[in-house]
Amino acid sequence: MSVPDEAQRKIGTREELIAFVSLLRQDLADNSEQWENRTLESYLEALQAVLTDWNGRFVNRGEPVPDTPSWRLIGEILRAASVYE
Amino acid sequence: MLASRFPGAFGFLLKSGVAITSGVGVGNSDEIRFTQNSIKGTFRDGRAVSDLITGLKNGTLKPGDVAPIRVFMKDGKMFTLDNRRLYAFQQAGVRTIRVVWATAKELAKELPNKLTTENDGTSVLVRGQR
Repeated sequence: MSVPDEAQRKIGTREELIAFVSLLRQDLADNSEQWENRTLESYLEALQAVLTDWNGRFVNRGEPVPDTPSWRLIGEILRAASVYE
Repeated sequence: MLASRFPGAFGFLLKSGVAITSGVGVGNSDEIRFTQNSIKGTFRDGRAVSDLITGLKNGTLKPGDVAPIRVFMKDGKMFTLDNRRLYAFQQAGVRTIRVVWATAKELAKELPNKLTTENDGTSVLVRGQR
């Protein structure tokens, strides 16, 4: 996973999320050896797990769990699924 | 304690409160905590975590055959980024395991995506076994 943190941090609009997903796709093509979940099956399994476990991330950060996801949070979840064990 | 386990190690403190040191040593698997709330029952290459547990239990695999797990200190507690291997060691009853300090780059890349434990890393759920 070599997508810059900055690209994730600056997601604020749908267009920026689309650009971020494009970066994820490119990273999978260029650096797949760094992805824990390289197949669609394993990625979706990890995505489900991330969504299930994500409350703990907010708790550990001392942040409130948002009622609705932001564009940036969607990007964070999509990225997390690439490396989640 | 850490200094004796990791002679020559050095450390520094990040804003997040995570202390990082460099060096390789051994740790007690019971004292190391999980970062994730759950783990998949297989490794990246498709091998089952349960097979590693079985191998460690019956002696067909030695703890030294397994890559060291990456660890870091947070709030005075040792956590790992390699949750499945730690789980396998604990389940197999292997206490003394090889550990290596996670690099700052590894922590920056993985920790924001993996720190989902809801019980301070004291246990982990294995997905598919819920």
